[in-house]
Amino acid sequence: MSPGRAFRDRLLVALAALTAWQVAAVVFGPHWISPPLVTARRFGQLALNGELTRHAVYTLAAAAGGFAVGGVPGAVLPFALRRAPRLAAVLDPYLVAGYGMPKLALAPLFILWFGIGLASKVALVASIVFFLIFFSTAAGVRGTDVRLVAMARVAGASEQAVARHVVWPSAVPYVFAGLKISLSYAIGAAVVGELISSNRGLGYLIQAGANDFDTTTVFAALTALTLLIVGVNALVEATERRLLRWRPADAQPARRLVTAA
Amino acid sequence: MMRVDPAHDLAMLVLATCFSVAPAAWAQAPEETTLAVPAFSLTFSSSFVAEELRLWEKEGLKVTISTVPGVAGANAVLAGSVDFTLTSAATLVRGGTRGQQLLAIAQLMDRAPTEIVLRKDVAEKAGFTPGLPIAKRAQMLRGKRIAVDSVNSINHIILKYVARKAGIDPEKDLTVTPMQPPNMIAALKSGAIDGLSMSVPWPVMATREGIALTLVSIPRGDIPEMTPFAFILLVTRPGFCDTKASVCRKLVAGYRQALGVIHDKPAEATGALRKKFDKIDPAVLAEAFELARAAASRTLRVNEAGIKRAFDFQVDAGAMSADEKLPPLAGFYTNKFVQ
Amino acid sequence: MSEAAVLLEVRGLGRRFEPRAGRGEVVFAIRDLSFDVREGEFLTIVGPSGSGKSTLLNLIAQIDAPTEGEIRFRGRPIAGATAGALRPGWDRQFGYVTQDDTLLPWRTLIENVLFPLRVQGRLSGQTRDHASTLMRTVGLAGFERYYPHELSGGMRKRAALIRTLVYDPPVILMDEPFGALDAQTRTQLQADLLRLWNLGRKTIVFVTHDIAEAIALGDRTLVFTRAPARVQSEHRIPIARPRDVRNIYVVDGFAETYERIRKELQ
Repeated sequence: MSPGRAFRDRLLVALAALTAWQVAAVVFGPHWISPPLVTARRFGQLALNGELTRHAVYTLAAAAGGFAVGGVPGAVLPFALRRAPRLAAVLDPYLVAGYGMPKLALAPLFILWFGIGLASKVALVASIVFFLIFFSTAAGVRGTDVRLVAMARVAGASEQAVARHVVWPSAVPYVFAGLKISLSYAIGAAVVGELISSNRGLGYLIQAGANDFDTTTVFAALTALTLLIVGVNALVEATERRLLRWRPADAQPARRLVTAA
Repeated sequence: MMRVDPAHDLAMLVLATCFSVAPAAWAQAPEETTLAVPAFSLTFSSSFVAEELRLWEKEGLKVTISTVPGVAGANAVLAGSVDFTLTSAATLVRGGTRGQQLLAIAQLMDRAPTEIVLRKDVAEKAGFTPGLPIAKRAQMLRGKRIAVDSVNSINHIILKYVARKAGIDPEKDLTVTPMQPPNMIAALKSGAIDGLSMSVPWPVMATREGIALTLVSIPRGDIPEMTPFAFILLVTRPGFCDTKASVCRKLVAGYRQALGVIHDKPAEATGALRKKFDKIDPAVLAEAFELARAAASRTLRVNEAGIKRAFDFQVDAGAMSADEKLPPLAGFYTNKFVQ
Repeated sequence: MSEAAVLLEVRGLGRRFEPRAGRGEVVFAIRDLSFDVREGEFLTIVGPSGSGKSTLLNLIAQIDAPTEGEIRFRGRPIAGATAGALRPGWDRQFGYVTQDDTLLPWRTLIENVLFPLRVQGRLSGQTRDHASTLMRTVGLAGFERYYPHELSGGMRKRAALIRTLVYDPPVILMDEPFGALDAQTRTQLQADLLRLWNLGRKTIVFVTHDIAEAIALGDRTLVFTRAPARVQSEHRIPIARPRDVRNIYVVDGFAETYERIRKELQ
C-alpha cells in the first residue's frame, strides 16, 4: 500500500472515530463523555499554562527512568546467561514466576520501600519492563543461527566478538519487539504509580479530574497520555527501521494492530 | 349430606396459612441498600456505631458498607453502583456546579474534625513554637510532603485552603500524596511523608505519640471560616428517595439513633468504635472521639448556609473558580426524612 | 620428485551420534576413517548423500569432536583423546566454506568479506587492499555496499569464498560449496576457485557428491562409503593442470576416471 493511500485511510479512520466520540458525548452527556472540541480546548488551556507539560514530563521521567533501570539489565542478562546455560536453567522458573507476578499489585509495596517520590514509580516501571525485555531478548539470543556462530568462531572470533557481531545483531529485532510491547506497559505503570501516590503526573491529573467532577480534564489528560505513547512508539520504530535497514523489504517490522495496555 | 374431602380441606388450610403468614414474612424481610464510606476515620463514627450496634437492622434495613476512597464514593453513587455515600458539602457543591447532582438527605457532621500535623523534627526545624500565629505555622508547609486520604477530598481541600492563605501554591510548592489513613502514621515515622491532613483519630495519634506537632486544628477553632460548614452529608442520587422512600427513612432513622448514642451514651459509642479501630490505643481513641463528638450533628438537619459556605471555602482554596455558577441551593438537599 | 609433507592425518576417526530420547538407534556417521592430506594438495572427496562428509569437515574444523580416533595437524594431535579442548578454526589455520553461505545478513558485502580480519584484529590498509583484489578477482568489485539479500546466490557464494581466503588460512575445507547453484555459475566458480588456489597453493579438502566436479578440481579423489563412512578407495586424477573446467568432459583421462569412480559408487 502506498504511503499516501495509507495516510488518507488513517485520516478517514480518525474522522470516523472523532465523529463517534462526538455522538457518544451527545448521547451520554458531557459529564460522562467530554466532547472532542471541549476536550481539545481544555487540552490547549493546560498546554499553554504549562500544567500539561509539567505533568507529562513527570510521567515521562518515571517511564523513561524505569525503562533504563529495567530495560538495560533485561537486555544484557540473556547474553550473560548464554555463556552459563546451567545457571540459566536454574534461574528460569524464578524468572518466569517473577514475570507472572502482577507487578501493579506490588505498587503499594514499592511506595513503602522507595517513598512517594519518583523513585517508587521508576521501580514499578523497571520491575515490569525488565521481564518483558528479558524474555524478548532471550528469545532472540536463543534464536541465533548456530551456523553463523560456527562461522564466526572458525574465523577466529572470541566469545565476546561472537556476542557482539553475531548474537546481538541477530537479537535486535526481538529486542525491539520487547521494547514496543514494554512501552505502553511502562507508561501505564507510571500512571498507576501516580494514581496512588503523587500530586504530579498525568495519572494524578486524571484522578484529580475525576475527583473534581471534571471529566474534560480527564479526557484531556488521557489524550495527552495517548499522544505520549504514540510519539514514543514512533521514535522506537524509527530507530528500529534504521537499525534493521539491512532487512529485505518484506521483512519490515510487523505492525501491531492491537496494543495490550 | 355434606361431602367430606380431607385432601381438599388440607389444601385449603395450607393455602390459608400461606396467605396469612406471607405478608407478615414479607414485612419482616429487611430492605437492602448499599453505602460507601470514604475513609476509615472517626468522621464517619455514626456509620460505624450504627453498624456495630445493628441499629439499622432494628429498623428493618440491611446496609452493606464498602470503603470507597474520597470522591470516588460520590462517583459510585452517580454511576449507580452504590445507593448512598457520605460526603462533604464541598464535594456536593462541586459536583452540582459541574452537572453531577447529588441529593443530601441528612447532615451528620457540622464541623470538620480535621487537623494538619507535621512531624516533630520537621516542624521544629521550620521554627515551630506553641504560641506562633496560624499564618506563620501555615508557612511551614512549603516544600513538604503531606498525606491526605484521597485526592480532592475535604481534607485535601482544607490543606489547599491553608496553603493558599499562607501564599503557597498547593500544586507546585507542596507534594501531596493520597494514602490509606492507617498507613499514614507508619509513613510519618519512616520519613516517607512529612505531615498529614486528615480527620481524627489519625492526627491525634501522631501528636499523642509525640512524633508530630499540630499545625492547624479545625476542632480547636483555627479556621473560623469553616463554621458553619455542612461537613458530612448523607447523599444519594436525585430521585432515589422518590421510589425508595422507606429505605431513605430507615437509613436516616438509624443514623438518628447512632448520633443519639454518640451524644448521650458516649461510653457505649466508644465501646463500639474500639471494636472497629482495634489497633489504636484506647486513650488516643477516646481523645479523638471527643473531638468527633463535638462535631457530630444533633438534629441531622441539613444546614443550607453550610452548603453555601462550602462553595466560598472552595473558591478560596482554589478548588473552584469564582465564576462558576452555583445552582439554587434548595436543589442540593431535603430535610423531609429528618423531621 | 620429492613429495610434499603430510599436513593432515586422519586416523581411525569415528563419530557416534546418540539416538534422540528413546527413538532410533546409535548412528555412526563415520567410523574407522583414515587418510592423509599433503601440503598444497587439492583433495576431493565423493560419496553418497548422508555419508558423513560434512561431519568429517566439522571435526577437522574443530566445531565438533570425534568419539573415536584422532586427527593430527602438522604432526600434532588436534582432535581425539589426546588433544585438548576444541579450538574452532584451530587458530585460523583452517578456513571453512559451508554449503549455506553464512554471510551476516546485517552487514554489507565488504563488511562480510572483512569480517575475519576484524575479529582477528588485523584490519589495515594492506589487508583491505588484499580484500579488494580478491573481490575484483571474482567479479564482485562495485558491490561492496550491497546487503546479502540484494545479491544473487552465486555472488553470495563467491563472497563466502573470498571471506575465507582473505585471512589466508593454509588449509581450506569446502563442503559442497557450489551445490546450490545452477550449472553455469558452478562452472564459473570452479574455474575461479582453481585460479585462486593456483595463486596461493593452499591445501584444499573439497567435499562433493558430484563425481565430475571431484575429478575436475582434485589432484586426488577419495571415495567414501555410505554411513558409517570409511574410505572406500583413492584415485589419482591423471589430468594435467591447468585444467579447462568448462570442457572437462572431453579432456583426456576424464572419461575413464569418471567410469571407475561411478562404478564404485553404485
